[in-house]
Amino acid sequence: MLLKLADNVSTDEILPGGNEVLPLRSNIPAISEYTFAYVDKTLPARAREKGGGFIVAGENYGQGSSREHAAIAPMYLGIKVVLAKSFARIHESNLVNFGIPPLRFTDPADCDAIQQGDRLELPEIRAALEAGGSILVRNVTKGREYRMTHALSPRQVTLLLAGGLTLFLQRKWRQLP
Amino acid sequence: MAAMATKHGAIFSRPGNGISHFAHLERFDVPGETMLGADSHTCTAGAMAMLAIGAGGAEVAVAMAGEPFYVKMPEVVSVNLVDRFPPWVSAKDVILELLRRLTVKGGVNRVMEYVGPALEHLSVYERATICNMTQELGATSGLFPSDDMTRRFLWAQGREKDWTTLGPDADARYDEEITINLSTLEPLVAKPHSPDNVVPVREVAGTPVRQVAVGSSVNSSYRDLMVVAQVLKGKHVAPNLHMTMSPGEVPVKGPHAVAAGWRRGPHADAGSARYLKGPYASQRDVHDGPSLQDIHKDLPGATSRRGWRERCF
Repeated sequence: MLLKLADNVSTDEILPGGNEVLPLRSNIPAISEYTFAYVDKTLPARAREKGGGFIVAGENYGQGSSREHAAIAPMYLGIKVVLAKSFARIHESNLVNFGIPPLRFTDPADCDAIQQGDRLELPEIRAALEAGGSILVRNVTKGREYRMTHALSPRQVTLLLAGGLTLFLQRKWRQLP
Repeated sequence: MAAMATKHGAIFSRPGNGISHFAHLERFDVPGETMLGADSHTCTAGAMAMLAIGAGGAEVAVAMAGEPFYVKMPEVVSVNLVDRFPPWVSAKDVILELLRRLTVKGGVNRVMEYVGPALEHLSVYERATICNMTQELGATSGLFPSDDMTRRFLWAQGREKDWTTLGPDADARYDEEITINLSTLEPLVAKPHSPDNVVPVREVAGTPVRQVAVGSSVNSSYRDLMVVAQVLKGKHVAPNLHMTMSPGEVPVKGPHAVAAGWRRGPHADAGSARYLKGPYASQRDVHDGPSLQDIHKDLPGATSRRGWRERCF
């Protein structure tokens, strides 16, 4: 688990705007170096070192803007899943569109118990998303198990299982006559 | 971008045309229509009685390609605005008061519908300020009815034919009802670093500032800029103060505002006029010391590191 965040983390905190960053919009590798630049500068390097990982956040994660680079840059850094107490509407959709499952804690106390650096496993996430039940997160470091849920529509689950909106549409449009 | 817009039959708004939300209000928005935009403040068009929803760029591109747009059915909350503003209180204080009461997650999966007798006195630009920052509540959208104020606005834009009347049904029922009495409001400001960190201006009055940034997609109509111009009339910006201005409605009234007000006001000292979305999007003016900005948000990395936000004139 690479980064533990508080409530109401905004898309500007996930990926800042401004003169330095905005000109890089079309350059995903370059812009991803600014991910969480004002929260934790070390995140991109740590994500590379670990080959990706997870983010844990509190309520209303991704509030603020519709900036979808706040989903694209973490995807590029190998963020596989975001675990939060709740998500802001547009960012939750953006995460799904770029293939990152936004999962919600069924017990908010579990979120508080996780610490940055804990080793987490999601052994059956694909099957759980397909089956529609809760999703198991195993905290190997603490020897605990958490149950996650989501607030996604059946269509969004289909998008996630396809790997995101682009891959979903590729498949759908190829099947058209 | 221009070539791509031409290729796909889209209208390309050239640089210098003003902030997109203002360009939409003045040139394109039509009461009763829907709008999907790749900007979270797309809901500004609610001022024109449009259900306007912000989404990610991929989502908008896919909708333009003919795929449906999906949104979770929101609750509808009525915000009943009554009575009139006291002096120095304006539309931004309405939305700051809502943010103070509901916080940045108080509008999640909700549409805020603004109703009430005060609407008779609220111009489309004032409604736009309120709808724009309805996004800061986390709301799916916000909207006003289309009434005689809307008709007069469209008439002034040469688009009266686009006007239709539209409002809530007499027996409309809401998931929640909120009332704000405008006469009881006082000037409000949001302190760093969240738009719901709202306090009365009197609590921070007198704080020295290093930067003043006027104008953004939320608050830069002719009236907004003229108020600042009148405050500055006959004075100069202090040499140690950095001041910028980002007019919202350049094509229609911006040049007049500059001619009539700003040349008498901060003139060259106010920095270059920035016709983008405001200091928030077009630059990051990081200065040491507090910054006073009439922007919808000042988040770390977005504008300045220590900002005083969202004071509106």
